[in-house]
Amino acid sequence: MFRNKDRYLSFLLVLPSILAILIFVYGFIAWSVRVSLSKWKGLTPDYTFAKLDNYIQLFQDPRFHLDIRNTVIFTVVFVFGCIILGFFMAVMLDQGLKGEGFFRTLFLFPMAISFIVTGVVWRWLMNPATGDRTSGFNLLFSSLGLDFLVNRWHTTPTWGIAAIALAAIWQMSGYTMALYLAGLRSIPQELKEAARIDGANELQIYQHIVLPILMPVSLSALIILGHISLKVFDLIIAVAGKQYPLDVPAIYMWQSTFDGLFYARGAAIGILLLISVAVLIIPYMRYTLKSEAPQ
Amino acid sequence: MSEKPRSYKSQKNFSSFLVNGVLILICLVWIVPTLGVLITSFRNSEQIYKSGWWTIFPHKGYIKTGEITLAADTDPNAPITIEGFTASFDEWRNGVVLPDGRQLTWVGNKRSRLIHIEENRWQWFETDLTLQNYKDTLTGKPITYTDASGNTITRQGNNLGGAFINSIAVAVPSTIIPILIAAFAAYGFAWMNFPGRKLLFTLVVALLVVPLQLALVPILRDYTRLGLNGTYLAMWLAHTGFGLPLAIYLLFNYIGTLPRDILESAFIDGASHFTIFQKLILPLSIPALASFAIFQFLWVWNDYLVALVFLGDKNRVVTSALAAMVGEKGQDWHLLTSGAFISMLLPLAVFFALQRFFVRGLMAGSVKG
Repeated sequence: MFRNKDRYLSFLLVLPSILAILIFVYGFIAWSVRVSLSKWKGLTPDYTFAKLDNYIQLFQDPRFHLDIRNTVIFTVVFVFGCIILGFFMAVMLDQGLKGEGFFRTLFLFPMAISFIVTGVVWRWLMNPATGDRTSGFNLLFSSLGLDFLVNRWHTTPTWGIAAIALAAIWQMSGYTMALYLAGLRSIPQELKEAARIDGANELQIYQHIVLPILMPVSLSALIILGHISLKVFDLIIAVAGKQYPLDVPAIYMWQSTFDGLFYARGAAIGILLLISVAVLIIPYMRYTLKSEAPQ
Repeated sequence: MSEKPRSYKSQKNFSSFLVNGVLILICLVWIVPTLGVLITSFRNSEQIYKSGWWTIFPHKGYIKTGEITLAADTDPNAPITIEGFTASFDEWRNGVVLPDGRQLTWVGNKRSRLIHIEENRWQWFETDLTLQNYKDTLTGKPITYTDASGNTITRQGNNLGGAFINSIAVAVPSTIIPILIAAFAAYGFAWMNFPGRKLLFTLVVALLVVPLQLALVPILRDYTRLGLNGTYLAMWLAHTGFGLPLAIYLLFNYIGTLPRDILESAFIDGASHFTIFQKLILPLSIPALASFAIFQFLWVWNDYLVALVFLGDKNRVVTSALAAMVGEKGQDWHLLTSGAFISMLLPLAVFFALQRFFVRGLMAGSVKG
């Protein structure tokens, strides 16, 4: 059906995108790799080859250790919070209730808001100030007489980052719910009916039929949420600003590059981020491309 | 259904009752942060610290019924006797409940010598709401307000009004340009055969996973060389670059599923590629185009990092203006809450109006940037 001159035309159609992407992204990855292996500090570029020194220094840097620790805590709380909450929301919505559309909309709407706005909202909710300046949850808890619930939120030593994960859960568990709901809807009713006839109770049906079928959905959720938490930046800035106890790789990278002009170190953190995201996503992309791409 | 035993049915009723209850509970938890912010943004700055936002709803609480001005020679550092009751300044300041149920509270600093009399009564909805916070947030001129300790403060406004317009100026072209480029590319990928098509497509899609932090410094250097920093054009180009992979991926998946016969019969009738693209592909792809447009628009609107790097303090967009406000006025909740609400206004409107497309775009774009 296609003539030979179509080849040139089709190539022309694709060319602008390819060029934009080659320059914008692949060129810059290569550039970042080069900088991360250099000695560049300060305003003037210095591409002197420094082997893996920047990476080695990072892995000996106590601040980077803290970043990894914070990222792990944030990821665990955020990812599992979203998955557990999202799954239960989806199961409940799947019962065929009347107000399903309403509930779904309500759970999903935080997705439309920026992390900065979510951060400001939760900064107010989790305000650790005391006395006259108490606000948000602490004021609510103390006026309900639930003083034991009053706490310091993100200013809690060591575990403060988990409080920020709560805000992220609020924003993203609706999305996880949408993923699971689509999965639940694709399970044939007959399967559950058959198990019911064989005498299985609801719990057993979920344990032995629904959960195993939803395994790929859980995997997608794990990967998508995990890659969000690796790159978390805006949310922490909005809730707490750039504070050492709540430092994460993206903030360290920002401060190295733009505040401190340690370009080489910033690039090294960037490359490490890229590698960790790629390890998560590439197998996932391969899988979805295979199952979705038109034949 | 009628053959099923009765107990099964009533058990079903009970469980659906339970499910509804739990859902409503979660809904409350979900809505409280936004509702609290919305209400707080309409209350005046002093009120916010005196009582929680829920006090605008009917409740039983202390309400001011009168006031006493103490004699000018009253020593606030010694125990003070009012209406036959003696207490220290700090105790008066926290409020003292008299045996008849009235509460007396010292208002302001030690020099004010002003006592409010309050009685515990049922109260209807609070009507003392104001639009002043929104005016103060939107303007870039100096603003004056009263803080928690009763001091009058004058500060520079954060000009969220201007930022709102900047955000639109950034987001609209940043949505349209990638659509135009990507629709052609997706057509090329989906409907034509040329060597290396598969490899190129994989290269494009793999880019979805690159954290955009990596590209910031090199683009910034190029922009500085070209004198583009702080301009809208810089933002449009950057967002086009970051948005393209997703746009191509989404449109390709959609265009690839269009029935091939329609296009082939159009070809046989002598239509050119351009005619097919314009008359068939574009109209048929509207759902995919809409999904991407909504996703990209919200993404650009909600972006902070790219705006921070390329626009800096010039032409601030809503996210960076709000972040700057957090930095300067971190405890002025009346301003922060109204600022937050202004920033979420447009995304929420888009979300509620176009939810169906939104969810589809969301599912596809989940790994972006």
